[in-house]
Amino acid sequence: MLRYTAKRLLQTVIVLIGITLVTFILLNIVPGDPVNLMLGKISDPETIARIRHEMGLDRPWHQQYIDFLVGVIKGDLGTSYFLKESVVDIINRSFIITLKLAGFSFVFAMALGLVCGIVSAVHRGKALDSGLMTLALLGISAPAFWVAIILQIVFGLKLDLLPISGIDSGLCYILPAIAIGSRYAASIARITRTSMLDVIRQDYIRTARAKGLSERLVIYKHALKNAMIPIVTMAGLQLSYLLTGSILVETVFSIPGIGKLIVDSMLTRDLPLIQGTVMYVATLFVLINLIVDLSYAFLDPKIRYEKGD
Amino acid sequence: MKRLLSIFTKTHDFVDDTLNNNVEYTSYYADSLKRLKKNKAVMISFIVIVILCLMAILAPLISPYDPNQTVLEDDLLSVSWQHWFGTDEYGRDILSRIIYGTRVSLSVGIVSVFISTFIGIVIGSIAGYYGGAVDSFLSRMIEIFSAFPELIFAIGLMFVLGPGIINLFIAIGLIRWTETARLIRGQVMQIKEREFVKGCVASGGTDFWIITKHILPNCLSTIIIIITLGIPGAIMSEASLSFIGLGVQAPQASWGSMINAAQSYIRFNTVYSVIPGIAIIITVLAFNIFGDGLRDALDPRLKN
Amino acid sequence: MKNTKKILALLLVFALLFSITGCGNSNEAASDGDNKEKVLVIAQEDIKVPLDTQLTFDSYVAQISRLITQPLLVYSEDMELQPLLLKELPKVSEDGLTYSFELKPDIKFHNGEVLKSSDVKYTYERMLKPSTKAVAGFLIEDIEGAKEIEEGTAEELKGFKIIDETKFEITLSEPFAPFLACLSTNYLAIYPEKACEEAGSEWGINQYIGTGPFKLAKNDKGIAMTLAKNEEYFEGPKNLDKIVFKFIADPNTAVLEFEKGNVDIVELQAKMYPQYASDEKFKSAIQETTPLAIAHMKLNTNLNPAFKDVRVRKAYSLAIDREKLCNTVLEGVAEPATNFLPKGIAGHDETAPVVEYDPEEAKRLLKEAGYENGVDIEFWQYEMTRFSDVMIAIQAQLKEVGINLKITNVDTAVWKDAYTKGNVEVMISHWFADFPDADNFLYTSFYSENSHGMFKDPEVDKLLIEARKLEDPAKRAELYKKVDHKLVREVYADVPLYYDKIFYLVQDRVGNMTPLFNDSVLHPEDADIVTK
Repeated sequence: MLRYTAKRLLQTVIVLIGITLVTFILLNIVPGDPVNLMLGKISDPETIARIRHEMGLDRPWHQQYIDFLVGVIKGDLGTSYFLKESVVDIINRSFIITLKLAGFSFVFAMALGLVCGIVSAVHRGKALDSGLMTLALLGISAPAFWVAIILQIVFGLKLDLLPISGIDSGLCYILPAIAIGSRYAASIARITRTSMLDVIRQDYIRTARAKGLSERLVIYKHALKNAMIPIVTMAGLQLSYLLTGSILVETVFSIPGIGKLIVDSMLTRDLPLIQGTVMYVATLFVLINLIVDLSYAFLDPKIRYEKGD
Repeated sequence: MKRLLSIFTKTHDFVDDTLNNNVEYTSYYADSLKRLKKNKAVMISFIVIVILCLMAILAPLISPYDPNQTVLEDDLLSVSWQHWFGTDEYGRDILSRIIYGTRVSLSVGIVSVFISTFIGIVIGSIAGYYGGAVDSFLSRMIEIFSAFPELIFAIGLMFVLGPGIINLFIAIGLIRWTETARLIRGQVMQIKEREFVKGCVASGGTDFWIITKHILPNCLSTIIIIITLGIPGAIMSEASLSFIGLGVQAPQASWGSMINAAQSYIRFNTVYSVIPGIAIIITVLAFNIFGDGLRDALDPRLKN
Repeated sequence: MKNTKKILALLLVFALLFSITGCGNSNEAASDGDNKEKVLVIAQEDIKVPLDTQLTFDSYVAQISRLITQPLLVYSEDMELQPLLLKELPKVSEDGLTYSFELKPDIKFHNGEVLKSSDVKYTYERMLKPSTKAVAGFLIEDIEGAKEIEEGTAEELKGFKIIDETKFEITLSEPFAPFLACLSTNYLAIYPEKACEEAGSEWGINQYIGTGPFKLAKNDKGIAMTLAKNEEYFEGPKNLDKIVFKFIADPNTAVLEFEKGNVDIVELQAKMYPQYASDEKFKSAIQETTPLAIAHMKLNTNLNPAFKDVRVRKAYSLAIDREKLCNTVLEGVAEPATNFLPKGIAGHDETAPVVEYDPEEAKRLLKEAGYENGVDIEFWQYEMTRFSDVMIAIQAQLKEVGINLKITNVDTAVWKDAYTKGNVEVMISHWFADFPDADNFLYTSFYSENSHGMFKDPEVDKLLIEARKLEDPAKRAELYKKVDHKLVREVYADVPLYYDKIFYLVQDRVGNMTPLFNDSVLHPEDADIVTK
């Protein structure tokens, strides 16, 4: 287990370096010059050249990349070209907002998804089951940003119950969290139902039933417990839905999170900021995958690790 | 795409069984088709898909107006007999734009999935077949690209490539191949250990011939499922990119960009925001149900 | 069972992970309820650069910054130059090269320091130094020694002579008529030397100090910026206690927030104007202003072979029906252009009619030039929202005479690169005056060195340079009139389209907000909150 963890960590580092390299190359191909943009409506080639030199942008790209890596090791991701602040500060600021949003949607989606999945499994084949599963299918098929707009129209404008933009209060998070979480909730509901049904058909559940334990006890104590492994795996693997969802939903609700940061910094070709944001997000993804893999091992010791890696 | 993972560990077991028991291919696929036909929801979704395809192909014939014809005096009309879904901010007919939008969604969905599946098959089969250093290198590649959050990678690629439908094919194709590669790699690794493949190797078949003629046909059901279940994801990616303004070139109609534009007018024309979303839901839903059905039909043991 | 505990532990970790980042951080928007404090909430797009007016032309920065830091002079509402930090308008020497200034005594920066001549010198030097990466150095490039600082060969501004704490002289290397107009721009607001140096990289981020009626109270980056009343303002404190600039990236969401009563003032996009103007609820809330600006198209006379022919350029201009444009797409939001220079700029020709529309003549000219089968023009559009509807209409009009305009959308960075390299065939732009002088319109766009290779004409160059040096305003205006006429009606290098308005929605409770000023930013300093 320890060796496996160490091996996975090493791989993670390699993957992260690869990601920064790919990003760096992409950013060097993309047309457009941040300095030119910075100068605004009046820019002449000499001034552009002067400032590019001032910022060290006229050096070969591999040299810039090495400098970037050295910076990363020192924990310094550079300074944003436009905001003139440390990239780490800027990203932390936006990242917390996005994480908060993703966190709220996670809680919402888990609660809704688990309940619907269990109810569906218990009432298998009945109208309630097919109703809930149809809803879940709809949920998987609806784009989060569209759900966000609909929620904004209905609860923000027509009913005037909840805020439609910003992050001034906790209330502001409700609609975006629902919009982001709906798709996630739907897939949790589906996997919960499948997994529960798998477990319910197992022998020991029949035994438990035969012993005369109450149905409720059977479902919650025995079945759910065993059905959790695939649910947790799925929930972990699909955490990326929440982040992707946040990026889009943030634009609907004018929330200054990672999504806005990525698009803004792309528009201005703010290379250190883009590079830093990608690093952050990718690290989060890789770590989530790592945690899921390790926790899977933790939950089910039967899994062997030599295979497949 | 990630949800395919858990399914496939089971699917290829099943394929192995069928092969080991010398069940003929034809009867395997015939049985699957029979099972598929029995499922009502799947058949309905199949019909929906056919209708959508027809809409895309016949768009010029069935749409009541030219989707890009601007009539500035008639902007933001509400629902009427002349304009079933009203008009947009340039007085263009929303229904016509929805119909033309089918072209964008379906073509991006299908073409980009073919691109990603192709890349995935090539990389996955090379990694799985050769193993060793090649495999570890390609596996790291797969890991690097799958660690990129899809949407962010796609956003970056669209900035590099610029807007346009061809660039959408490429960008979405390039972000979605990792899961395919991973699955194909796993299957190829298993199949390559089989007697008949070993026989081919012994009799001096070239690697290319062995992979394409002997190994990949055995992955066919996996590939079919990857393609069908990949389409809705690709459609969703297109809609998302168009929504943030990185999709097709204006004035071409795309459902995602329509939702984006409609957001400015939610106060005055709610239908404008609602309709493109419903179009996306219907399309994605149809492909999802059909894909699920196909998967269940190809592997009956998965059905509950 | 063992597994349950493990699962529960795992879930708990997830829950913890998110609860750490959750909660907290709620700042009051304070738009209603509190009667004691007079708070004005203005919604605008977030600023994507520091609050440092030397670093950007961004009008959202200017809108906030001008309340905090101030230049030496300002324009009054009737377009008269007036001293602000100065005792009186500076005296100019006979040869037009030396300006003598005297600051008002005892003007204090927000940190209590007194404004001195050395602060002015520091500010101008900072603007010119390459390490600042400032954008508007061109405004004071004519001061003796400015070029040397820009090139990094000098540290001190030679032409700036400090006489004492409040008196100083500025010497130019050659006469430059609009010099004082340049000094009146927000970009040349005076910074306190000591505080600015001490703040270093924090300047504009957590520190921003000036002499203005409001001071920076709180910078919630990306969310809002709060300004508080400067009780010691040298002209007496203003009515408002606080001005909150609330950042809402999407202009339409901002308008919806106005409707919900969460913001007091918000810009209304021109394309949304007809909807809101015809709505009883909003009609009375709309205020408008006509900025000193022109929406125009510049034709590249050196790239597309067709455009090298003046007949094709003339046909292009004649094909556009500006009256119709302003009656349909731009209904009620714009006036058709008569000149390149807008009304209010000396040199604007009052007698000129709307730029001519004659499709038949346009067709004839194209035929004469050998393009009877049509001509293809490539158009790169980069700011989609502002012009897309206008461009679609123009495209249709051009099509009628046989000019096929192929519109491609690119993002601003790509466009800017192509533009700087002289690779765009046509550009459409909105030019907002930095200072109310024709020089800012013509010299910056059509002087051959500034045109990015799009236009080169020795005679125009000569006239523009001559006008820069002339003292007499009437004579200058004549020269500019001549250049304008030449560009628009002789060589057809420029295609003026329209002069448009800017709209704002203002809540009833805001008093003293009319009339809005005629530059492109809000002037809320004298506004008040009136209780009904």
